[in-house]
Amino acid sequence: MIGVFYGLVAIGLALLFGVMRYMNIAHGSFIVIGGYISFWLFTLWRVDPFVSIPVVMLVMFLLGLIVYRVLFSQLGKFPEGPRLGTSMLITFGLILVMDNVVAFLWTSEPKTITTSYSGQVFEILSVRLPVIRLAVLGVTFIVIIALHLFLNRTYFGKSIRATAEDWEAASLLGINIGRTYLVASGVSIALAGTAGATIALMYSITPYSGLEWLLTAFVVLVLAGLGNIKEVFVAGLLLGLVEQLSVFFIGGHFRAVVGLVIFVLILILRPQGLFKQ
Amino acid sequence: MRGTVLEVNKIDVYYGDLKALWEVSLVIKEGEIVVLFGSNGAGKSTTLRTISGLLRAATGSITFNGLNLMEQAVHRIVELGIGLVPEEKKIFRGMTVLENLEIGAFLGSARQAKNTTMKWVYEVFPVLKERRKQKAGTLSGGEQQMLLISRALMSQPKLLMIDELSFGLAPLLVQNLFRTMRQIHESTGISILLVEQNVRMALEFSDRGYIIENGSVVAEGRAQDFLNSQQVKDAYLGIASEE
Repeated sequence: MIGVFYGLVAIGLALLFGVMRYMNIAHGSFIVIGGYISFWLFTLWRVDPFVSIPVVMLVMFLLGLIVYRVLFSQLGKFPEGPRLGTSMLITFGLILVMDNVVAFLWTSEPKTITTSYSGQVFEILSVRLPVIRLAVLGVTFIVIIALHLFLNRTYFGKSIRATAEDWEAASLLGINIGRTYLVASGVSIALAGTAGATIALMYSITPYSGLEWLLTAFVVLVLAGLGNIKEVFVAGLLLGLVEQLSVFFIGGHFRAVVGLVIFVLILILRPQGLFKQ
Repeated sequence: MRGTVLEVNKIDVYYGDLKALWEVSLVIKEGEIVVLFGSNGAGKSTTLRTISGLLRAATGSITFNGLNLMEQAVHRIVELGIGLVPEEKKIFRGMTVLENLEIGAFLGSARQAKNTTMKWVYEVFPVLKERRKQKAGTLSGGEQQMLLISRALMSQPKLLMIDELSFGLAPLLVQNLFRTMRQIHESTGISILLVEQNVRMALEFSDRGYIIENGSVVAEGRAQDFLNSQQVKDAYLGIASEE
């Protein structure tokens, strides 16, 4: 279901917030940049967009490291209260810079990646499934599994989880918080880029479409509960489900509104999100 | 003659503009058990947090085995061999007991010895072995305290600092805990620095003590002498025996 893909869109943001208590509202812009990199590789060198995903991940990971070093690390000095607001201010500035650089590099025309198999459809038991969507689903599942293994089976992954729960206690066990934040930033941006690469395939991207995806990510985040990481994919699934149901009952025009309605409802009825912290 | 392991020399510590410690000095020798006691808010926890690197002293010096700790990052100080179990009981609730212990052995050399250390921890605190697959948040208060101590021990510290071992625990549990700490000390020779409200038990457990009041060290001596002192009995043990 498309909902799982919404999880992919949101997971980078959730990771960064969960670990560093940082709200990176430029997350959408990073998603778009990932899409453009994939688009570039496809148009210039005919690299199949799925093959380019690992490249996009690597490039975005490095970008995340740089952004941390240059920008995010400055915020380590703030205690958690002001950190949230300040992070939003700084990343807002980042949006302005990044979106305009992207517009300069690639023009404001919407771009999309159309491969030879873009229109193909898989038929199983008289259900028609677009190949691209299936492949994106596959990518998302791979990401989920990889992330799960990383966070649960590696020492560094566990140190990230520990830092997310309680950075002070983690530092008292010898965990280098700065380095943990650095890697978390890299992973977060890499995940954003991956989502972007899939978006370029399924939809189209413009330098300013980042905000639209940020909104989706944000709704999923609030639905899952701020600070939760694993639950994001389930929340995404739910959102996707509700959206599909709404299309069925109300019609396609209101699809975008559904997300916002859910957002407001959650904030009113259960602001801590569906899943416990 | 035992060597000095930790030397804190005349540190001043501020919380913003608020001065919390005035020229606090203390010394811990190898294998010693030292207790810091005094009224609430006197600066005992602040002292521990400064040694661990969570706070920075404005002046003075802190050396550990000859190494200067003043500018070091927290994780570096842990690497050098100082562990702290802070006042705020902070287990990783979302992780299992086993994962908590594992992450305790994050540091290089500790990680290699992880299995041996964990086996020993399970012998000392069998209940942790029983509950090793459970989420840490489901443990009782006493069990969480055991987990905290064990987790700190996993990093193989040479000096273990514990802030309020007995806090919120039933007296019988506290007694057991102190007894276990003595076992640990005897088998490892680890140096221990305690901040403790239950002064009587702490003094019976320790070699030496410092009294901290209003951010300064006001007395220093052997634990036995404190236990025998009328002043100390009136000021600190009276309160403790009412618990």
